[in-house]
Amino acid sequence: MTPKRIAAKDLKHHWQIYLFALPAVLFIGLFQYYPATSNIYHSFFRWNGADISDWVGFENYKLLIANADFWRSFRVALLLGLWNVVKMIPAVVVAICIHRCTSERMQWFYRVMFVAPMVVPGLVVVLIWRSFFFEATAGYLNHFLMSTGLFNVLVWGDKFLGLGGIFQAGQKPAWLGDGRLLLVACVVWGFPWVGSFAVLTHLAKLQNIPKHLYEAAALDGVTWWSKFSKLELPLMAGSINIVLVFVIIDTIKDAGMILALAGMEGGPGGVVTVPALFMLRKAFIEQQMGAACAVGIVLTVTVMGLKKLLDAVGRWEELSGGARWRLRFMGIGLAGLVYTFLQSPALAIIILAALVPWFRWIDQILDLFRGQPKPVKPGEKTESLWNRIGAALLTTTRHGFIWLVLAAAYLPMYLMLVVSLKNNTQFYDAPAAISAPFHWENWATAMQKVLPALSNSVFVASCSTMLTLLLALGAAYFFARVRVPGTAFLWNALLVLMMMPTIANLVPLFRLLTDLSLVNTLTALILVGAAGGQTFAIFVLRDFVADLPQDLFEAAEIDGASHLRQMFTVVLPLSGSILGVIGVMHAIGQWNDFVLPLIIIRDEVRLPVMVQLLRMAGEYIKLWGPLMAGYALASLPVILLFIASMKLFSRGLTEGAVKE
Amino acid sequence: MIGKALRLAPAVILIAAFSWAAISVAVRSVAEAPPDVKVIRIGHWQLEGGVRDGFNQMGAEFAALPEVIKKYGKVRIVQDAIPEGIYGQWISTQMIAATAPDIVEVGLGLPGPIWLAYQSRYFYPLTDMANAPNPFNAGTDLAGMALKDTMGDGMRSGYQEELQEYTRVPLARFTSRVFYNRDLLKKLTGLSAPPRDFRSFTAVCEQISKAHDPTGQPYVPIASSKYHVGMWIGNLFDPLTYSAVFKADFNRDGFVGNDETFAAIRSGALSFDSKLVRAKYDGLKQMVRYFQAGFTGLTRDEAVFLFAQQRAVFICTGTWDAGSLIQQAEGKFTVGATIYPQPAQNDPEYGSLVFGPNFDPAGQGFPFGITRFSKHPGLARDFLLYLASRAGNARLNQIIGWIPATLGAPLPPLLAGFEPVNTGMYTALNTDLGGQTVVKSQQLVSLLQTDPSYKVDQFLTEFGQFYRSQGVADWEEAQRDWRRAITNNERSLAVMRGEALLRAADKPSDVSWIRYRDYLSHRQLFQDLGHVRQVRMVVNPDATVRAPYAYSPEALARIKADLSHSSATTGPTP
Repeated sequence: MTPKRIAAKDLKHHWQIYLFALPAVLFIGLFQYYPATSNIYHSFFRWNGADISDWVGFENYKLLIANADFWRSFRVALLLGLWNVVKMIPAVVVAICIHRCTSERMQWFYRVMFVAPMVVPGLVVVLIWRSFFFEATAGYLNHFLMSTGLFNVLVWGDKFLGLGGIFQAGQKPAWLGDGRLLLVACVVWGFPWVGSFAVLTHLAKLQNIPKHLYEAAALDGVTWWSKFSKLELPLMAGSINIVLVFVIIDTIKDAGMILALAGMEGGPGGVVTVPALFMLRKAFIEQQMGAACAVGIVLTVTVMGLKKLLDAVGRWEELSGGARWRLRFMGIGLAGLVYTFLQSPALAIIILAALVPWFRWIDQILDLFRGQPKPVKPGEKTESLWNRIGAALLTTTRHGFIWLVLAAAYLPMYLMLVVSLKNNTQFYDAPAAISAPFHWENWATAMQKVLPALSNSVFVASCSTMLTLLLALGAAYFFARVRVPGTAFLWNALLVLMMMPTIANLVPLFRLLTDLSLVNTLTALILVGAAGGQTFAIFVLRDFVADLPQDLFEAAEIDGASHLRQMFTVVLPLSGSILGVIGVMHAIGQWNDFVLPLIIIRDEVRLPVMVQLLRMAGEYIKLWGPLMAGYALASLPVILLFIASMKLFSRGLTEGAVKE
Repeated sequence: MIGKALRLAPAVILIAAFSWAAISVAVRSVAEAPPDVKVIRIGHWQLEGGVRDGFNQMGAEFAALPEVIKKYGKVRIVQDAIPEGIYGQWISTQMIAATAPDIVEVGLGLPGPIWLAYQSRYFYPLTDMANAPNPFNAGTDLAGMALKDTMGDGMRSGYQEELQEYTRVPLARFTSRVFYNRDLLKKLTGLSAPPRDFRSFTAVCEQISKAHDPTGQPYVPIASSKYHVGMWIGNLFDPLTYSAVFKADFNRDGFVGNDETFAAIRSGALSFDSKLVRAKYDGLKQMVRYFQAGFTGLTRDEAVFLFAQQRAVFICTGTWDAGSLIQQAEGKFTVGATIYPQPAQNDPEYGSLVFGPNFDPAGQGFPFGITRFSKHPGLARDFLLYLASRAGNARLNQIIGWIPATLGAPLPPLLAGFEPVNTGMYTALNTDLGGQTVVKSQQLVSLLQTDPSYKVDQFLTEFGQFYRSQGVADWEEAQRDWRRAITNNERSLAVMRGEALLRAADKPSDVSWIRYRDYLSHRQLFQDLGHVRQVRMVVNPDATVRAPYAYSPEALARIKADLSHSSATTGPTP
């Protein structure tokens, strides 16, 4: 549907249309644009957030450019980002394995099974990995390495590659205590890295492949690899691109998980300091709010640049030959910059490697072995031995692979539940073993501690989600239905916002909340959460509303329906699934957020559940049983919400909630 | 029908969950602060169960006192117990947002200069309170005495030199010792008590590290964590820098402040290459070899459990942990305690830096100040006074299991014998300039502890270069904070001068003029002179700017003789 153009002279008859966008614009203006502007302004001041505010010009930027730690933080973020791209592979493989299951029941079963462990809040997973897997003397990662003999391989590899004794015989590696291993720990945590959002998005895309295409491919003798590379991958490319953009940008702008894993210092030597953590330290430890604002600006510019680049790469197939070469040259330039400024040859090599068309080359190599596919004659065996082995292996290992991934994914949940029924003595004797007597009272203790925080989180997530949907629907209607003076400006302003990391504006946002007397209130979390969720929601909903049949609106207009009536009678009834998807995604995001509440909420009675867990984990003498029961209680609502809305989610995704 | 119900179930559950949450939030908001109740919030980082119990009980008792009810009506004490790891950031945001609790524990999580700036901006000075009697001591022999005189250290630890004000009231006293598993030590080394000097102690650790338990796992000589390593540094290695006092105590107050350290290093009076600086980090590097792998990634309780599980022989901790440590060992093994193993005076490496025993940094701790954001500052002061009274302080520390700060308050029986060593060498090198130098120092010291390939030389070069160059900005910031406090001086001086003019305008020998001149010289002129000297040393390191005078050889000899005559007390084994 093309938006109806309304000229300026006709505005007097249609001025009400602005009211649809006004609340969202005000919200975004106050909680997104004002902090961003204030960020730019304060980045030119030596500002302590309170009574000192001296104009220093570009001094903060000059100091940043000269600060080796700042550049190192970008190197760490880029490295983590690249690893996170690698960590996307299991989700793709799992999605394909599930999709290729012939039994629909098994497909459904696997989906449900995968959702539960994957929506356990990231903070809970980090804390479990911290306590159970990375601990040097009794952690399961070291147990695993020792018992499988892999540790000896690592020791040999250390000697062979001259790693400087990271792995030494008889000495258990200290994953979080050794600066040389901390980055590895930041990569490893969360294994097997199968995010529910990624799997469901990929699956939704795969479901769009008509069955007859597979049948035709089988008749044409297409191999398992070609099915993947020629059929599935191109169709998944959109969803992979979306997940890729989310992953890289999230890594660069995120500090929460690193904070939980390595602390405010970023571990020994600050080896895992990422830009956002660098900024938080500048602001809230060093009291250099002006410098922190400058970091925020650099972070925003970087994220915007990256987003542009990734968008261009995502539209690779649509690009002309010249544009592709220009991008390649930009990539080479970027690699040069990374090598020069970040002093990271490894990163530069990875960037250069990313410019190579691997899939085309693999296909070309495989083509050498398989020759041209021939039409199948009745009774004829079409596949070469090579292909038959590949297909057989795929069939037999498909379920095995899924079960293996499931086992690894459920391990943290298993530990959480088993330990939640132990007292400390039982826990230290054998943490992973089920041991009697069961201490059910741990759950009662956890309830006492976590229940108020749970109610806060439910309240905040619900209110913020409702507000987001309400405002975004109006704004989406405005952008999809009409083109009035100012539409383009507002839309472009939204586009910019899509690329602006909220955390970069944290310091001015905090000041704003202080000035509005909203610090230490749930209202602040609701308002900021709703403002943050607007952009994504408006984008998705605008496309959805624009795709609705024009006839419906015309019929409504002929019947004399106002815009408000059209929105409630035409748009709303048709957008249940899409609103469901946006709502669930927003609610889960709000539930898992802990950086903002950590900073602005003071009183225990107002803490959302994630911050409460962080505080419980910080107790001197941990009571492991109640702590784990608390983790489980904090995860339960999200798991239930996701399972309950899975069908809706899949339908929403298929309907285009997430468009490439 | 059933199908329809199932379809509606998620929506019903969502509505029910939201209703429950909304009602809970509303009920809590109403119950939190009824209009007729005055609420005092107390923020601290002590997550020991006892502390929270202590405040709860003391709060309830205070609120039930007839004089409190008469004066304030209904009172409620609420506490915000924040984990150490996020306390600094939490306090920063609360201060800037003007939402800080009424009473706040001071000193953790932020660089010293930032705390100084916060005390200057956001805390009430408590000098008048320190100089007035504590009404809650009425009826005891402390009645009528100024609050500061009722405290074990004369409330010296609550005094902020730079602000020239009392800003905190300490509520407990701490000492730290090395605890050991007697049985395991005997079994592995044949010794019934560990050696008291560094060299022999590390030899014993080496011996322990070679022993294996029945499952083939090597024993850990010292259970440690990120938390414990600070105690080893503070009690054992920091005092090795004591001789910096002879070179860098430019204002001759007996301490080398962070500003003096910086000026000394910038001007070359001290260097990161000097023996005393190297000794501190070299000793630390030697000691951490006997800590368990990955100790910097461990928390306090994980190290304690390693000790409790009899996997480690030694652990250092303070009186605040002694009770829980002994409790966890009960029935399994006997716990002993000893002083930190200081290098002997004839030690080939460090002997020349040892002039006597180590001073026990057993100052009063658990210090609380009152913030300017308090809606009921009078009530907050009264609660703090109640906690600092002899009866209140004894009761609070009895519940927690710590050493009381107030004179005459009895010690919990468990802690008898943890009396501090009051004479000896103390930390004299303070590179804590605040800002980025602190972050860098934390990062690199952590690397030094954990990376065997990262040598002391590398650390000293890397941190030294950073400190000398990047430290200027932090030093300037600290100096600016200091300058802000000068206005307090000027106010006091104006009042004193006015008083002198009124009393004896033309009699320079009058006591009011003498007091004015004395205050002016000590609090203003000398401070300014010191500041100017430091500025010149920092701005122009090559210029030959030094202290106005040096210790005479006789004075130095006397100091050293005093130190070597003083003897350490270890405190009996619990």
